[in-house]
Amino acid sequence: MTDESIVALFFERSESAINNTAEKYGRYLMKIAANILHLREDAEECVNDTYYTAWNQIPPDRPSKLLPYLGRITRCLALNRHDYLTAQKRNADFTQQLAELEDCLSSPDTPESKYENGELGAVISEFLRTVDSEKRNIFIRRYWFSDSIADIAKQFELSESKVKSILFRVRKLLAKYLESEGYRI
Amino acid sequence: MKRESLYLEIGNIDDDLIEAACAQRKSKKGRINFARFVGAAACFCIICIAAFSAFQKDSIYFNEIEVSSASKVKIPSDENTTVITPNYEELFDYYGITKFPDTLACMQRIEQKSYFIYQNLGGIIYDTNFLQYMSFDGKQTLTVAIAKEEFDIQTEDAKLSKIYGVPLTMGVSDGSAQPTYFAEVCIREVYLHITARGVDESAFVDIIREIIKLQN
Repeated sequence: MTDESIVALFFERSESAINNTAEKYGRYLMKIAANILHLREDAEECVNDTYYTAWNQIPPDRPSKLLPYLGRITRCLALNRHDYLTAQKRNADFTQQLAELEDCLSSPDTPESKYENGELGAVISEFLRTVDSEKRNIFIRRYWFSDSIADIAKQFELSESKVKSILFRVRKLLAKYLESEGYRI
Repeated sequence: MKRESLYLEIGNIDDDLIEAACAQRKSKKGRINFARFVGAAACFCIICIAAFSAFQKDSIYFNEIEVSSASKVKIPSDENTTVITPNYEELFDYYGITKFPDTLACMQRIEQKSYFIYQNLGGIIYDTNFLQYMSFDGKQTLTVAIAKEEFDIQTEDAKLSKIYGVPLTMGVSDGSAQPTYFAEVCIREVYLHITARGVDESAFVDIIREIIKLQN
């Protein structure tokens, strides 16, 4: 079923919208949630919350592409849940991912910023378009899909150290790019 | 900015980038398998070429022989004989082989206005033509006699050499103070008789290699 058809079902308030969404994107969303959260139960709950949120937001939202739309919801919900979980239950790999992103921050944990909400996503997109496609996809697999280094190495048939090295370089390039664009984040 | 906020901002990157990263995961395997296939095929080819080259290794033997460039063919000159005078390009069109270069081993080809092909009512009767090469100081000369129809084979009983898998006869004449090297080879039914003076043996072999490579 096409994304357009599924969105139409949401607009009709048909419950089959959820079933079709789960059938088409459930596996992707589960993977994203499981990459962020430690327990499978937490990930399943997060994915169910994604469907609920989508049900409430469509309409008025009319996403043309459901994978990025739903994935964003899942990431956001999983991150919130991650924040509330106890330190013992946190997913060490995801915590590591967040720590890696500090490479891109000029001054971590400072509230001041000159960008508008959502504007930074467009700037990061611009930057990613300047990067070689394999490196770009590795970066997105790591920081959008939250895949582990081991998974990425397997997907791209590279060594883990090579993946780490690519990510390190792209983070540094991103930091430079943001600085050159006048962003102090 | 908190790292969590940056993580969420990365979430707002363009949809097409996300979809491309998703698609890459699916296509990567196929691409790698294809790359492996190409790699394996390349290895196989290298092994085949190496094996083929081993069998095709050049073997050079210089027969000691008296070199004569005189043709035994008598050109008839009765009223039925006509002479065609092709230019350089037309000559090679006639022979059906690759045109010789203007320079061979530091020797320059001497321009010739026209070449000669004799024919009578029965067709072509004599088509031997000569290309002349000479170094700037005139000390090295190379003559290439080319013929398609009939050719005076000087070395019928001589031991054969082989270059790039092509059999040929090579010889040296020590009759004069300066040795003359020659080679006779037939390529695509065109006979080439190459004679060189003022060059050493290895330089002559290199010239013959260049000519055979050019024609192959």
